[in-house]
Amino acid sequence: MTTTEEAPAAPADEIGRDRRRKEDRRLITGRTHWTDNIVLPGTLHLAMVRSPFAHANITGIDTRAAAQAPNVVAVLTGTDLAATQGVLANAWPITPDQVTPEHKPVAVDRVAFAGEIVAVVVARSAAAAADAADLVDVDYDELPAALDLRTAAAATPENGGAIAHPDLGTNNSAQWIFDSAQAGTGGNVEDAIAAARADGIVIEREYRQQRLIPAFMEPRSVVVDPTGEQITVWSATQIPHIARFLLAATTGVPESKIRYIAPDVGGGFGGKLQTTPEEWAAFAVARRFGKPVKYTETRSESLQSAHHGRDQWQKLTLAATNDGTVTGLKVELLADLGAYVALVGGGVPVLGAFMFNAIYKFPAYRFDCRTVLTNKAWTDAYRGAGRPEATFAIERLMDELAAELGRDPLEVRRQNWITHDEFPFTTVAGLTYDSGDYESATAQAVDAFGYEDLRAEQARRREAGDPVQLGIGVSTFTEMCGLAPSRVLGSLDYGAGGWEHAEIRMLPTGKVEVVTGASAHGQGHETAFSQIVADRLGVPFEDVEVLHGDTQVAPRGLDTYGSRSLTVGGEALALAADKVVAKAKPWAAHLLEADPRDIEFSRGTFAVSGTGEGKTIQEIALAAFAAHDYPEGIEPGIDAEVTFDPVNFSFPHGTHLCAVEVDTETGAVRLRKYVCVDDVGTVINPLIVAGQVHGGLVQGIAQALWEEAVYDESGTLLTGTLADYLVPSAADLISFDTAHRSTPATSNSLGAKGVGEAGTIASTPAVVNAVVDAIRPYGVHDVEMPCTPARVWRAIQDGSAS
Amino acid sequence: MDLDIDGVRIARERADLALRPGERLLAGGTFLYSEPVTPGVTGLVDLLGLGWDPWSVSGGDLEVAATCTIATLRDRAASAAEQHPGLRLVAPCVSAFLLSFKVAHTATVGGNLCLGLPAGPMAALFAALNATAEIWTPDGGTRTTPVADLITGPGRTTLAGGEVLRALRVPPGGLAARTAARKLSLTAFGRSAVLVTGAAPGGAPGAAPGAAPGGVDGADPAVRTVRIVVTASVPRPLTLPVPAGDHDALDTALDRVGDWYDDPHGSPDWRAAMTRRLSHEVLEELS
Repeated sequence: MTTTEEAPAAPADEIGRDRRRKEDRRLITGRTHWTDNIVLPGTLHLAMVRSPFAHANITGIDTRAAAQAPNVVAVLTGTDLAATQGVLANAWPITPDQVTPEHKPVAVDRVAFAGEIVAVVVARSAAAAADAADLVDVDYDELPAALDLRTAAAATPENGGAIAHPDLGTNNSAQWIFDSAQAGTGGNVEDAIAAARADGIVIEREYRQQRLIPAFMEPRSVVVDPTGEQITVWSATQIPHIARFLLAATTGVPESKIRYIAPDVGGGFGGKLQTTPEEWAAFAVARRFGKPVKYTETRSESLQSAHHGRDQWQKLTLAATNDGTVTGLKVELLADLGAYVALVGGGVPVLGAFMFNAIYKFPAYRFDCRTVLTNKAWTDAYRGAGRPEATFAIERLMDELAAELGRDPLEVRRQNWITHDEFPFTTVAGLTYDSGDYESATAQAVDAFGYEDLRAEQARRREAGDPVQLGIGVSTFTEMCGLAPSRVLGSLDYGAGGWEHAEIRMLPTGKVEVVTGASAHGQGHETAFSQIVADRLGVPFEDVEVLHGDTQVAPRGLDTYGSRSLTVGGEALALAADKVVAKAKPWAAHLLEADPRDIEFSRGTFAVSGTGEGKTIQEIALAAFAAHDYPEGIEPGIDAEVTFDPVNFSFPHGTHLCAVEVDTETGAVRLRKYVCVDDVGTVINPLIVAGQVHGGLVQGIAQALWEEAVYDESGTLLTGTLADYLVPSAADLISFDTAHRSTPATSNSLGAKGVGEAGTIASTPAVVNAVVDAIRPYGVHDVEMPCTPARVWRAIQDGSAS
Repeated sequence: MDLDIDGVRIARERADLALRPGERLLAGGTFLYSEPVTPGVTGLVDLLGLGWDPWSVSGGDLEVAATCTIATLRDRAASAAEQHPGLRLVAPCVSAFLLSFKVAHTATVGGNLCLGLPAGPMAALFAALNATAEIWTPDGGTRTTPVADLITGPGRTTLAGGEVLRALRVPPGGLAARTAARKLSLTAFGRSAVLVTGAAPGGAPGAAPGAAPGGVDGADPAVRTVRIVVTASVPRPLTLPVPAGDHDALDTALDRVGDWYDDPHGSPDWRAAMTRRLSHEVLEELS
């Protein structure tokens, strides 16, 4: 790659411009502010004593030896902290009768997963705390553990099955159903299936979404300083605003007395979309001792105790006519919540409920999901949150339908998808897709992929009996992004809205401060937001400073997740910029002694129509600051703020094509080629988009081929190190051929659709479809993820035998 | 790195190797980045301060110090492989590591062996070359053991408390051997799920038998013996001396293996099948 110095852009030339990320110089040269780097005088350090058992009663905790260890200040149990530690809230009870176990940050009398905190050691150094944690002697009375999802779902006290929380009497937390016949968005799926059984095709499959671990680069870390007028919390979190609200709501400390700061945050992928036991415990300890406290988890603790993702069983029934037109889809889902209902844990599968129909015109649809409690780490959002699961299911099914018909999978998709002239299109799940062009994206991808040539090669190799077979996988996906219209979230019983806040401060020196409630953790907000503001205001990109991640600096916000930063947070900024211009216009007219109706704004300058006279927006900003001469009836200053609540989701889409080579004798899978054409609407910064797509692809491919959180039969995590939990490196992957097209979103003035999760959502089914396609001649219809050599080899053995 | 210890002592002479309560030996220490230090370990004693010569040839034997880094092993072997063809086995064994160049310059031969990992490629290398391990005993003495017998299970070795792996000694037969290696893992550069190495007497196939790197008891001495070593798919290194070209004998030997390793890197049935497949490939190549 060749690097070039970037010349200053002409004002208003920022949208669509490749900009290297302004935050990267600081990030990659180590001039960062990670939470763990924060050093406050007199800080106490915490170490967590965690349960080695998946499910057990705590019968005794002997803290004496630990308390007497050098430099130890205290050892606190759940009982010690009972009055102040608060509880961890579930913000999305998906049904009114959802069964929700109380989640105390430090367990009091029972532990529900291996890794749950049972005591907190407070010491004058991190090393002393860690040493003393080994000395805490906890007596457990082990209980039967509910581990397997399907077994747990069927367990009852009457049949003797293990119950994750015996006091609740059931592992089933909630059942959430969407039925198009009841909702009035489509027909009755049972009728469609019955009709297809009589004359048509019915595809029935069960797919497993394995448990994954977000595995962000920076472990979770928290510092709490109670020594000022406010209690200040620094945390490696995606959600400083939500965390502040919930901390206040569950501990009784006034929200105005809590300042929450997310400094530089090293990745999240949804894994830091959480309020954590560690944050709550640190908060309680800091208040107890009146001193700053710090806790940073180890990698092992992170893998074991930070929330996990996915973990679903999907039972799917697809009905189609004999010519391949889909007539109905039924989804029966089990979702593993783990030991507790996390912040939005129960809602993750519900997010997927609207995406199983994907880009297709299905006339009937039913989604029936049960969320299930088990004695494993709690689950919650992980890149895509519900939508990758849905996309995987339907894209696998469309390939299965094509195989059943003996037709090309692209043809079957074309037959069923929404055509570009049918937008806006209201789907069977009730969403209105505003824009898209699946035909063009697919055509471009097919061309770049060399689809026909690869199909021809595949045929030759099959004919020749090549032990290394070629497989081609297709994934034509869409997703709902830009979470979310507040009214929609309210209708789904989510505990908050989906708006975002932005403020633009025009400084007297001509510089611009931008305040956003979106909290970055690696996405490049500072760069993209600077481009939007520079473009709208006609100021130099370099003159824009983006402030975020601190509830004192950006008091209003709903943070970053669900590919919402650009479509909601970015739009709020764009509208705030428009507001600045609108506020500045009367100032310009006054200073130019012209009628405001004759003032035009372009590329940073207010000009009088038909004359050469003008004032730059920086000049207006200075004039508004001085406020020596301004029109009657307006206030000094041209700063502006906007709270933007979207009216609809945005719907990125794309076509992903993957070729793999499968060694049929060893089961080894080698990526051969990957092409994707994504439509993410208007692209603000192609470099950032490419980076997001590449990173997303890696995570999606990793789910398909490598990553899985594995527990043993006693509930101990076997993949508790990065040597066993296989996060891929660059050496494991090939170069991707990425491209994008644009049909602008209509739900925001930018036309942006969001890109943070696209690669992850689309790539997993593309890869698995390719693997199955390669070995389908061996009688294989599915390979459970991750498609390890052992699983692929076993599938071939079983398929060949049958 | 989850390193929760009180300190590190640098050993300068043999007397420094007497361990105090809670201490363990350290030779490189890169594994500390992989997993937390064992509970109860409060201190480390670094062998690198002893300044052992990493690579020396004496009396026809090659001696590789336990503190020889993987990078030094790789580079020295590459230079010496023309003279000692058996050392061509070093390259595939080093590449079987899950390691970056930084780790290669820090991790050591002895460190890998003493961890007793089922997927430790140094066991695959030195066992195939029929090397012996020189071990310092706490009483000031020395004992030797075949490398093939050093590891007894996952994380377990025959090293008794206070014993120190000093060096690996590769005999002339090992240095002269023709070798082969095969590996499978979940990812191209991932931890080995199956690693099969093999060595046969030096010289072209069909030539007069040379000094076999380990023979088959009772076998016809005129038949060359291929020494096949299986690691990663079994809990401890498995050495299979097989007459050259005798695939039935190899199958018989493999049929007797009942303990296939089971972890997230591969199921036992797949490991068994792949070990058989790769072992036959190695035997074929060396026969």
